[in-house]
Amino acid sequence: MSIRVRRNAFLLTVPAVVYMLLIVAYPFVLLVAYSLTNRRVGAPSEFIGLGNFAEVLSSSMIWSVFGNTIRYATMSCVVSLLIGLVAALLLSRLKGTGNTLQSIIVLPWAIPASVTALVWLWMFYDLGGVINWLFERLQLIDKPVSWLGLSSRARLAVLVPNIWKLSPFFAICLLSSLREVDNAALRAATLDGAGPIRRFFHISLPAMRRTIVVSFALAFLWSATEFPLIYILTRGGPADATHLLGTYSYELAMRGGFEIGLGAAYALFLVPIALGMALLVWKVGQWHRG
Amino acid sequence: MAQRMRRPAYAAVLALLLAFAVIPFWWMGVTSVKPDKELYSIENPLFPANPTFEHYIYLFESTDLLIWLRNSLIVSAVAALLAVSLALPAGYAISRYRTTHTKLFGLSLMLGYGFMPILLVLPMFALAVKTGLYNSLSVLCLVYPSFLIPVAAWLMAGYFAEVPVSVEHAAQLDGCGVVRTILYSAIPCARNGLVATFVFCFLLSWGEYVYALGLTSSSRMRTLPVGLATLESGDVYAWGSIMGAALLSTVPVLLLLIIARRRLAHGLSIGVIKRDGSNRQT
Repeated sequence: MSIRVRRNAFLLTVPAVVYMLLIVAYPFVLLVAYSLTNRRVGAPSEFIGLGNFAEVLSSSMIWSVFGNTIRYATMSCVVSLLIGLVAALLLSRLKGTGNTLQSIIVLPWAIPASVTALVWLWMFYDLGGVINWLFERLQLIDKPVSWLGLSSRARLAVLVPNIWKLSPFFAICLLSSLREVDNAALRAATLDGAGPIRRFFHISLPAMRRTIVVSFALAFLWSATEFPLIYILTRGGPADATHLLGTYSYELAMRGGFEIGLGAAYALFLVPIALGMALLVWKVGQWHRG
Repeated sequence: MAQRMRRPAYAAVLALLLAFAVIPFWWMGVTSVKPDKELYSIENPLFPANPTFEHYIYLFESTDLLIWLRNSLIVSAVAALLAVSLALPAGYAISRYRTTHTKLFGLSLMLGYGFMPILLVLPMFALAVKTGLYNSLSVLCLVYPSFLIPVAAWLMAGYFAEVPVSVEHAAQLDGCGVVRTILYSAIPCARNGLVATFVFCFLLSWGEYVYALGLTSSSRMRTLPVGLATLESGDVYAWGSIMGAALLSTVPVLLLLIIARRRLAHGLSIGVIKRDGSNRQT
């Protein structure tokens, strides 16, 4: 490989690298620095070492918000993946799916998350909300239910908008991956007497493996760092039951007590999750490159 | 025979899934044309009895909706343009050169993508205050590329990988250096991909919430996603106008998706999933 090629490869990436260092790496270093101080708004800050982390780990909140984050991301992604898979399999049987239909399907994923949050907030609303009306019609409940007012119910309710948002993402990714499944192999398997279920598990699913891992990791990353879908629906409530790491950190640092140091410490617990998922996406993206 | 019997079941499941996707949009639309006193009626909430445009009139005349709309357009367009221009050479490098450097660069881009806005909003807030950019549109334009550049670079890498290198060899034989090869050969060949990347970055910025909430404070500096969420504060939820604004903010998304869908879906699959090395200079 010539020096010219190496030099070009390096120079072409310089603008992006410099910019990312300035607006990602530098703020991240600041975040770590904040987490080591008792910084608050309107007070001088002092270096307190790992004091914030000691406080975080000794409070019961960390287990609750960390658990919520993992559970929220896992449950949203698993359910959305299954819905997306079913949708993709069904859509792939439709001959000549129109572009417009596919654009409508991805719409829940593409619209602003705060719009999603607001429309679901209104749908979940106890007074006049369409979900209560529908469930009463179907005789699943006999009087209006407060979906977001009770901890256990709110934890499930906040999953729904995220599933609504992510299922189309999975559906579109898996659909385009299904389109590339080897038709000859499918036909050969049919001739050999393999039914649709065996064809799916032995041919289609292995072919979609990479797409599934990449889309799952991305969706997990988005869900673990989700903000508006929680913040607008419940503000982390009732009684902090639906807070995720990110929303709680924001609440501490940017709204409530302006506890910037402590908020930064909470935010840092997201880093292993986020980097783990990013690494997974990269790794799997590399598979094909050898 | 068995095949034929299963078809209605397939159709039913698909219809159910589509209903799940579409009902919230229907609910937005219906709510936005209902008069206030009809909002909580449970007679037949899925259809408006006396449709009215009063909420839309209210939105345009008495709220900052048009300002938010303008802000969102400016921020999304500028941020997307900035991100695409920074990511374009990087994406080209990833697709054309397989060196240790580009490999490491690809990895760090992806890791950089992991630092989502919610992680960085605290230090960004402090930096914005310090630099005097707090509560301005420019701070959003400058900060949004943090989550756009990785996506844009990977998408561009995918689109460039599809441009045959033979075209570029011709340009190089004509004496073009790498910059002119990109400008006169790679960019024109991958222009559809470029547009799709821009559209995708635009959409990501259009929906961004965390930075927009944390780095601005006055209503005149709000973008649409944050602005319309402020309509709900106060004692009375103005559901009619909130849903009207929500619907208005999804219209551009739908239009852009219809225009760019084919290239986008294609780019997403090649960008992340299968860029092979057949098209590289080594």
